[in-house]
Formats: sequence, structure tokens, C-alpha cells
Amino acid sequence: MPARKLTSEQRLSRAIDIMEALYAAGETGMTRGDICSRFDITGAALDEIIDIVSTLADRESGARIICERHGECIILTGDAGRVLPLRLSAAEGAVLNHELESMGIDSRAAERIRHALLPEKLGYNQRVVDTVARGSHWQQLNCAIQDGVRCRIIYRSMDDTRPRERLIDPLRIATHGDQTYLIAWDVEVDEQRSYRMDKIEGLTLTDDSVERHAPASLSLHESLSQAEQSAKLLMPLDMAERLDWAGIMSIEPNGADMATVTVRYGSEHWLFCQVIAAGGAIRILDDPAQALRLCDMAKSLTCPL
Amino acid sequence: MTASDTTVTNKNGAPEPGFDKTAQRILNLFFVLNSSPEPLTTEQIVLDSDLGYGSGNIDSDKRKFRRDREKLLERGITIKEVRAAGAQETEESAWTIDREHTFAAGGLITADDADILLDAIDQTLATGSAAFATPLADIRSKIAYLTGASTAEEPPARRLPAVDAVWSAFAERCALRFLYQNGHGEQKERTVCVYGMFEHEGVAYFCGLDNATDEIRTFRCDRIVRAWRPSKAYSIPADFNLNDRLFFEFDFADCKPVMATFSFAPQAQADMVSGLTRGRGELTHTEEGWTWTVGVRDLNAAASFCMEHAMDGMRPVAPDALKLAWNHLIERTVHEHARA
Repeated sequence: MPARKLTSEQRLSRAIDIMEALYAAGETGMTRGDICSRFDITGAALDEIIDIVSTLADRESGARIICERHGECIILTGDAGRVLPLRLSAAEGAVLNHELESMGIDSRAAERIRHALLPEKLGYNQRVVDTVARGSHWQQLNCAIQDGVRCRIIYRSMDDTRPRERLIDPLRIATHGDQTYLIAWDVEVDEQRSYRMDKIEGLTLTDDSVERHAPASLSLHESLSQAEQSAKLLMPLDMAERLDWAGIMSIEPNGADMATVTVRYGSEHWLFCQVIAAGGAIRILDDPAQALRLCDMAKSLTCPL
Repeated sequence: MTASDTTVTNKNGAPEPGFDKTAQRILNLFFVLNSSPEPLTTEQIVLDSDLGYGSGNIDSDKRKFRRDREKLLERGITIKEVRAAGAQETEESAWTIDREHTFAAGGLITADDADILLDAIDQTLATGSAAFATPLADIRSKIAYLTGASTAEEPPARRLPAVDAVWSAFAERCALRFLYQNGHGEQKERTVCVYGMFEHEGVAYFCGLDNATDEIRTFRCDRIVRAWRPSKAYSIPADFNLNDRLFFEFDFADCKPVMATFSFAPQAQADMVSGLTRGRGELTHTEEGWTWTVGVRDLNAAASFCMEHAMDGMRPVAPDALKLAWNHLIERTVHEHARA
């Protein structure tokens, strides 16, 4: 929803942005609708800005800005209003800087982009962040997905005692909560797998191209829905509703304030850690042997004082 | 001529509209410096009533000129002082736009760089960035324009009015007044100088100086019921560190934090450990493994957090109360399953 009435600061910012955009649009100009939509302002606010911009003039040189309104179209004419693309504002610069760092973009490319776009003097420190774990291989994997390149990764799953190499056809990158996952085809086991991006220890692009596989799952939830392992868990209903596990298939009320949660998972070790972390609030319902394994693992984690 | 004086009449004899004189003065300063082939001296600027200065009090006009330069700088427009070679310190300054630092250097970004960056932004937008969709979409448009890249496949940005209101206040560095509903459903009006924004598990948050408590507080954007237009300008303290505000579940308790230490196995991946610890506390890596020491208010929540990541090799180290809380989780789990 566009801001109804702009502050002086907003008016100044929008005016500069609109002058920049109108100069870039050249003789074709921009429609009022395009401008209002792009800069999130009302038609009245646009009129106010155009009125101000139209008064700008230099007494010494006689230069002034000419903003022509042809019905719905607004055109900036002449070179006096020449506003080349500006560098990013301090706040935008902080977002771009964060994007360059969090996506692990090649340092030389990142430096060129910073040099070309960031406002050098503004001290764009980290005042925007996110807590998403993307690992160090996002850029290379993204290129491999786009170019269809088969890769070797060094990866240690939760159930592996040591990292091992896997030959994969990368399919897509998915985000769930604060984790990113590579959804890929494991060539040797000939099945789709998902790999936590922050646990990929090494990556090599091979000379081979990927093979065509069944359409990739769109999300981690879809990927996990095909997992073989599943469990029924009993827990308080409000806890069940707050859980953000990607493999939750259903939540069914079970008695007063309790729920039965069906979850699919890729690692039993992961499931057990989540159950123990709930400190007895979650119970495995349907598999006594699995409950026994859970208790054995829990006891093995006891910490000497 | 400018319409800096609202009593001026136009050709039809009708009064000029009541322009925003501050915005107009700053825009005109930018326009005049941008179109002038030569730098302008301080006097040329501050004595010019058409520009919006020339009040008769030159010191006041100089201060106004300095504030206007700062306003333009916040928007990425750098006005630099120039002196002729060999000029004396006492000689009058002249001013011009620092074009190198003001205008984007499109030629420096290669087509490959642009592709990489546009892919990264598209990926972030496609996953539905909660906090930064609006600026990322604007940055994307600028890069596409500079490099001639297509904007046809631009993913739609998920724009949320409350997030946009916070972003706008943050970008303009103007305090935001809003009606906020806390986790207990209580509503209260607050005014906050936004110091930083972050995204955590798909939710947009912001931190800033809260006028109600005079403390730096963290708020969820999706709990803003209503926002008014940003007003008073502010600046962000140089020592403000947003990483200190990236909270964990163990931060929420009404007691003083105690220092708790956790360990990770030596072979734990650096990416995983740094992602998990979010730049909070002190993280060290030796041959024996990783050690993370961080302030904790709720030791039970900290033990649960540690257990949730036990498969990544995370273990409690100190204090004993933390290890007791960890063992208690185990005992209760075993007890509940034995009872069943």
C-alpha cells in the first residue's frame, strides 16, 4: 500500500529516484502508473514531486528541468535534468553488501560490484543480516545447476562417521527456515537426496553433464515426503503447531491438548536429538524398538559432571 | 528562479502551491551542482536566496548547507570540496559533485558479474525474503539497467506493508511511530529509531532505540498493527552491532545472563559452526575442537538448543548447571518412554 502522505525525507528520496528513472527512460518517458507502482507513492504524491522538480533551475546558467506531462505519460526533456544512475543509498548498500557476503559470491566479482555501486563514504556496516546458513558453495552450485554440470561433493551426513565423496547431479537449492539445502540426484545410489549446504565440505565440478531425472521436488518438504523413514510422535498440541520440521506430514489432535504428529526424516539420529531436546514432552508412539534405540542413544549422551 | 518563496505568484496570478521548501532546496542544490560546469564557491551557494539560502545570517546558511550535504550523502550523492592547486587554507572553498563516488560505474560490472548477482538476488527473492524484498528488487532494477540485462524474468518481490514501513524509516533514518502487539496480545504505541533489520527463520525483525523504555529493543515486523509516517531524523551509534541482537531461545528469561560454554568436534565444518553461532559470543578453534562461549539467560533452553544440534557434535561444557539441565532432558525422555 503506497504511503498516503510523504515526509520531507521521503519526498526528497523519491524525487531523486524519479529524476533518475525518467532520465533513464529517455524520450519514451514513463506512465504515472509505472512511477507510482515502482516508487510506492500515490498519484497525489507524484504530482507534488513533479511540481517541485519542475521548479528546479540554475539562475547563472539558465538551465532548468522540463517535465512534460502528456496525459498519463511523463517525460523529462533536455540534458539539464541529466541524472545518471546513482550509486546505492546507505541502506541499499548495506543490503547489497550483505547479499554479496551471504551468498558467498567470488571475492573478485564482489569487489568489482562494490566498487561500481556502493557508496564509499557511508560506512555500510552490517546493519542488515539474516541467520540463514548458506555455506560456502552457493555460487558454484548455482552455476552448476544452471549449466547442468555433474559435481563431486565431500559431505558427511548425520549418520556418517566421516565425510565421504558423492557424485551428484545438482537440481535446485531450497530454503527451509534458517537452513538451505541442495536437492540433487545421487548418481551412485540413483536416488534423489537433499544435502545441508553448510555441511558440504568440498565441491568439484566434473567435465560431465547431468542426466535427465524425474522433476525435482520443489521444497525440502516434498523431498522428505518421499523419505522411507517415518515416525508417529505424541506431543502437546501447541508444541506440534510451533514445530518447523520440514518432514511433518500431519498433525492430528489426540485427546485433551495433545497431538499425534507424523514425520518423515532422513536421519534417525536427527529425530532422536529433537525428541530428547523436548525433555520428555515428545514420545515415540508406534515403534517400541525405535523407542528403545532412542533411550539407548539418550543415555550415551549423558554428560559427566 | 525557484519557487522557494511560497508568496510568489505564477503567470496566472494564482499563488504557487505550498511546496516542501526543504526538499526543494536540497533538490535544487543537487540540480545546480549537477548542471554547473564549474565548482561553486561557498558564498555563491549560501548567499543565493533562489537556492533557498540567503537568509541574511551567513553562519546559519552555512550550517543549513552542511546539513543539506549530509542529507544528499545519505542518498548516495557526495558533494566534495575542491581547492585549486596551491590555494591557501584561508581561501574560500568551492563545491562540486563527486561524480566518481556518486554515480554508479556501470562499465566496471561485467555481464558475468551482473549474471551472478542477479541470480543471487533472484534466488533470495524466490525464497521469499521477509525483510529485504523491496531493496533487493530496487537493486535488481538498477543492475539490470546498468548492464542492459533483461528484466523480463524478474521474480515478483513479496512486499509486506509493515516491512516496507520499517524499511522506509530505516532507509530514511527517520523515527517510526507504530502500534505494536506483543506476544501476549497487548497493544501499545511506540516510536523507534531503527538501527538495523534482520531476518530469522523467515520472519523480519528490527532493532532500535525505543522511546518508551529508552533501550535498544527488538521487534517483529509482523506484529505492527499500524504505522504512521516516519518523522524525526536520527543517526545510528557507530558502536551498534546488530550481531549482538541475533537472539536465541535461551535469551528470554528475566534473569541476568551467565556465560555458558559449548564445544564442537574438531572436524565440525566451519560454515556449520559459524552459521549456528550467528556471530554471537566468542568462538575459538583449536586442535582439540571448537569452543563457543556466550551469555545465556535460560540454561534449560540452552541445554535444549544444544541437544537439538547434538548430531552436529555440539555438547555442553560449562557451567555445571548447564550440564545438569542437559542430563535432565535425557532423564525425562528416558523416564517418559519407560513409563509408556
